[in-house]
Amino acid sequence: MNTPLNDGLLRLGRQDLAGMQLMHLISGLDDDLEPEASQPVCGGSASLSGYTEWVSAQEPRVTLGWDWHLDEAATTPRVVRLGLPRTNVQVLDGTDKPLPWNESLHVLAKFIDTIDWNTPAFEAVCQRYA
Amino acid sequence: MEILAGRPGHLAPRVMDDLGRYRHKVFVETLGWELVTEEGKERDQFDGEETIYLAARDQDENIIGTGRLLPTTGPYLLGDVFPELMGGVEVPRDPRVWELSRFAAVDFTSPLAGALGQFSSEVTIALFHSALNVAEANGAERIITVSPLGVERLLRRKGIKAHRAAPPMIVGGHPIFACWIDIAGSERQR
Repeated sequence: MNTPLNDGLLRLGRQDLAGMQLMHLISGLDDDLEPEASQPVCGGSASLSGYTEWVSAQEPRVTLGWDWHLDEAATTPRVVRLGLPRTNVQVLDGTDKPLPWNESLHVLAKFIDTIDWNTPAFEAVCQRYA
Repeated sequence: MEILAGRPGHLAPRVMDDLGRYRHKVFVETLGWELVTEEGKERDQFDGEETIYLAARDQDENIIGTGRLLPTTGPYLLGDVFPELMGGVEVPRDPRVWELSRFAAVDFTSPLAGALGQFSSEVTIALFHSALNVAEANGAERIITVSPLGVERLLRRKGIKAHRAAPPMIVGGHPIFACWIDIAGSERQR
C-alpha cells in the first residue's frame, strides 16, 4: 500500500483561525492535584494549575486544549496560559504549506492569547470544584 | 524491570492470568470502570489470539504495567465502541495503524499505588516505547489510542509525537479523546 497515511490533522490558515469562534468545553484541575486533599478555594491564594478545553463552534471541529496556572501576583484571581496547546490543527504558512509542528503550536498559542478564555475557564473550575 | 510482549500463544499462561488480574485491579477496582470480569480477571471482546500484550514486571515478577495492541483491520476498541471520538471522520482501518488500549502502569507493590492514577509509574514511558517498537515491527506507522486528556502532556514531555484526532468527549464524567501517535516521529529507546 503506497497511499500516504492520513495523519488526522486539520490544516488551517491564519485567516481561518482569525475567523474561528471557540466554545468552552471543560476545564479542570490537574489530575495529580487532589482537589479534596488540597481544598482549593476559588479566589483564595492557593497555588492552582489545571487544563482547559475549547472547541470550534463550526465545522471543521477544531479542538484546542492548554494548561493554565493561577497568577498569584495578580490583584484579582486570574489564570494564565502555561505552555503550548494540544490540538488537531496544523497551521499553514502563507503559501499553504504546513508550518513545522512546534511553530504551528506557537501560532495557536498566540491565537489563544487573543481570546477571552481566562474568565470562563476559571469560573468553570470554581463551579466544578465548589 | 522487564517488558514481555507477545500474543497469548507466545506468553506463558501464568503471565496471561496475571495480566487479567492486574487489569481487574487497575480498571475495575481502582478506576471503577464497569467492565466484564470473570474470576477476578478483566477480559473483553478485543482480547483474542491475535491481540499482542505488553506486560511490565518487576524483579519479583509482579505485573507493574500493561498494554494491548490490536491492528485496526479487525475489531478494536475505538473502531467498535468509541467511533464518535473521531469527530465524524471514519475510524482507521489500515494495517499501518494499530490501536493501543488497556494501557496502565500502576505498581501495586508501591505504597503510593493508585494515588496518582493510571499513569503514576515511571514504567509508563518504557511501556510506551515498547508499544511503539512492537507495533512498528508488525507494520504499524501510527498508533491510535483512546486516552484520558492527561496523557498528551506526558507524551509531549517524553518526546512522543502525538496529537488528538478530534475534540475530547466526556464519558463517565471524564474527558477522553482519540490520540494519534506518530511512531517514526517519536523519540524512543529500542
